[in-house]
Amino acid sequence: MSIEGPLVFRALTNEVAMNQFYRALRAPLLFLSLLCLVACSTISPYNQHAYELSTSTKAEALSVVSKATEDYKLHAGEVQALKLNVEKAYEYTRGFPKNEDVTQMWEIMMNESGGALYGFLKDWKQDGKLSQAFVSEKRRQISKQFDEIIGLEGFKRKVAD
Amino acid sequence: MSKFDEFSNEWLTAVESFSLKSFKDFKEAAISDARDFFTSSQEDLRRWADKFGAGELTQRELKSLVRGEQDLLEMHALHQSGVVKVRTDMFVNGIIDLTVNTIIKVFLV
Repeated sequence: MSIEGPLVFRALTNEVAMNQFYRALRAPLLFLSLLCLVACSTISPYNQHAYELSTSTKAEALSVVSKATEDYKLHAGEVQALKLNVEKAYEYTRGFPKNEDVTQMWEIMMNESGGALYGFLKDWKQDGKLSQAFVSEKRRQISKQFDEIIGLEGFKRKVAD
Repeated sequence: MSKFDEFSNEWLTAVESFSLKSFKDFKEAAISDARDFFTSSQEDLRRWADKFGAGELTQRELKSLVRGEQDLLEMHALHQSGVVKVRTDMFVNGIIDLTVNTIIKVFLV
């Protein structure tokens, strides 16, 4: 021990050994930074499919919502297909770790007692058809609600680019 | 001045400048976003009140729209929470890059 200590010290003070020592640090540092990029992330990164699901579901939802001035029974199949796609998007989003914000936004959309998409579809089913003024206002609101989901996925994309 | 002192000085200056810029950008974006959201929400509420007054919307429909606005507000808060997380990741990754680059510049080049 008493011999090794000074030897190591002398070797490190040597210019060549110092350079070797610092160069040896390069790989662990790069590894550490890569590790941190993964381990330190607080939110699920951008996912192209999640983004596409949110935009295509919005288009489909707005198209179905526009028809709510007509009899629900005529469009029951379209409503079921829309709900299936919303649930697919939700399940896909929920599968990613650290993705609670987007997952909760989908849950709000799917809440039948709320004022978002599923609440609207429930009202339509109950009433048979809805007034033009209400449908127009609700369509605008549901569009904004979808934009919150799409906006966050889009922000992730902007950062990833 | 030792290599480590040189690294410390350079790193601290870079971190300070990077942090100031990051927080300034974030603060400005957050204020502008909140202002836009509440202006838009206020316009919606005013329009619905007018339509309700004119008999175009029923009380039940007005209630559904107000409930929807609450949902929208909640979704906006979740959106903002996500944006903060993305920005936090950007900041942390920026600091990591900056630290590694400063070490390489001072010690290895």
